Amino acid sequence: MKRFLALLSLLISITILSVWLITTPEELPIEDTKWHIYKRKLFMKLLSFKRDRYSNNHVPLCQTKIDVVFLCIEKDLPTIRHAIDAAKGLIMHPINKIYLICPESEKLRNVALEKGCEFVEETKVIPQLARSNDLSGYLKQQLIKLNADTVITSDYYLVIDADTVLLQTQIFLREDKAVFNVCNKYVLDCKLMVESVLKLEKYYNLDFNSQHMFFDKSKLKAMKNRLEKLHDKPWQDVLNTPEISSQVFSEYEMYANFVLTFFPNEATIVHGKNSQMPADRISGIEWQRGFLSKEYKSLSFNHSITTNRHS
Amino acid sequence: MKRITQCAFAILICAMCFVYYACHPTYLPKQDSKYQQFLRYIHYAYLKIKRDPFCNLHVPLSKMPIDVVIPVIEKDAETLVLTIDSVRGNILQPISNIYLIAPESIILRKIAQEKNCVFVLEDTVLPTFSNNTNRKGWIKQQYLKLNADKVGTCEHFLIIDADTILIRPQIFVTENKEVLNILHDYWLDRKQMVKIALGFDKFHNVDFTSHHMLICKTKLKALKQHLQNLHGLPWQDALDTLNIPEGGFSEYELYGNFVAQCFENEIELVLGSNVLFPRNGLSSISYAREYLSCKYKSMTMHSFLTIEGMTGQ
Repeated sequence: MKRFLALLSLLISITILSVWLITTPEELPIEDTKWHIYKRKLFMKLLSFKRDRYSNNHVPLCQTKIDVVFLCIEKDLPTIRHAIDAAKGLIMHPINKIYLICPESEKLRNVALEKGCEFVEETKVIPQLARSNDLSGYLKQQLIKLNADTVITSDYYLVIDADTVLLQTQIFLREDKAVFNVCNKYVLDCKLMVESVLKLEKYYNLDFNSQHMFFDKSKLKAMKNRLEKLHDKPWQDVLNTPEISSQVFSEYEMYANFVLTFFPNEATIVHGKNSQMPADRISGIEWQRGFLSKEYKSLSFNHSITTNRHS
Repeated sequence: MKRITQCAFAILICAMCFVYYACHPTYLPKQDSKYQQFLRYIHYAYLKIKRDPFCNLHVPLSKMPIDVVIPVIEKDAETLVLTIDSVRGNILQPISNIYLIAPESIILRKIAQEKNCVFVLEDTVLPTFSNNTNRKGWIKQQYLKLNADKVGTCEHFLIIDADTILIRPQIFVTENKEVLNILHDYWLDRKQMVKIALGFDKFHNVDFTSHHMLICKTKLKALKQHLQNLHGLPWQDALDTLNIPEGGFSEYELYGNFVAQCFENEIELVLGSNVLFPRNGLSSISYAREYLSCKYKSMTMHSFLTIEGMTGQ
């Protein structure tokens, strides 16, 4: 019996130690090994068990006013109306304004008018760049997200992809802790890019490239200051260099890792619970969302999903 | 300790054998006894635990194209609109075309035009009988469904009743498996009809009348061929001349039993999870269906089902 108890306590201590090892930040590995992937899977599993205090059946509420920002192009027209409606109905913060940052387009202006959003032309939000000749559309979008604080009036803003429809009621700030949703698409190169620009030491073995990100203006400013101090040039020029390809650039990874390193007590990590659907299925959203909202917090209509996917 | 382990092991093996027995075809009993019901309960319980690969929270997708065929009459015009929308919204595989098979009707033609469906007159789909008397409406509908391979271009087509709405995202066919939904609503008369028609001895102790069914044209052809060979008559006349008990005719049972036994490896039996819903609440159905989708895959609103009728008042 004594032996049995000793063995049990040993087992419990090993489990606690492994959980601690898995869930604490670590130095970036040289490559994403099988062991690293396995640890990440376990971490995600643990997160899925953890109670999500930002989105649950008790309908959490928050008094803090936020702005909501959608970046869209005409390709997103089928989804943008649903995305705006879902944001209005399911975000449990008072929403100050909803901004639609887009290239000049009559159709998108109509959407903004119809849904009571503020239309902002994207050229007004793109930061001044030293080299702006070869700015790809993807990189442009990411710089706009980081520079959206120049047009937004609230202290906090939520950026949502135009192809993402929220499914569950949710808040993004609770007891001064901002939420970071994590996803399954870990790319080591994105982390390496963050390391090259922000020079952080330790990183969570998680992917922060979710479909939406909650920004705190003051923390974003602190991140930009760090970029400028480290590289001795404006933050936008630090990011817009030929060394950083658009495939590995990730504004969400940068911001999330920065906040989790320097303001660990003001942030929480939760499971993103996002489901993906082919983009041509948007017409069925009203039929699908009831069932999917049982499990998922958001639904993205992805243009790249066309292949067979059985689960 | 050793004895307990041996005992537990023996119980486990027995339980596994029993579940295996309950989930496989057995001889048709003379009546639906309590033991039969218990076996059925075990089968349903097993399917409930088993993962449904065609409809789950991981949102399965398939690139196999299908046609959808909806036999309809004017009485079901108001649910038909919802059926079409639910088919477009919830079937996560390419839908080549939706065919409405109906008698001549201005309302139904209008719906077909509005919803971009193909309107097909039922007389063009109905098989030719040697005994050309008038058949009851619901018997005629069943022959229409069995002959629906005349319309459509895809190898697979989904027959769905016009009063049935799919409420969860789902697929019906993958590269190597087709779905066969089963329900709780077991009727021995229907099984006896299948026994007379197909000459089978053993039957799955489940009900295949799930208000919608995925049909493979090749398998339907094989079924008709089987009927012709067995009775020496064209399939429609073979079914027409059989001494089938009143109310026992079921096209879904016929096809379901045939493929579940002759093409066992190409079929996946899954729980149909259908709920009957009164027609009274049709106007604000969206509220009910979002809630019901947590538990059910489809809902059926027969025209004769009202709250008063369902509660016996």
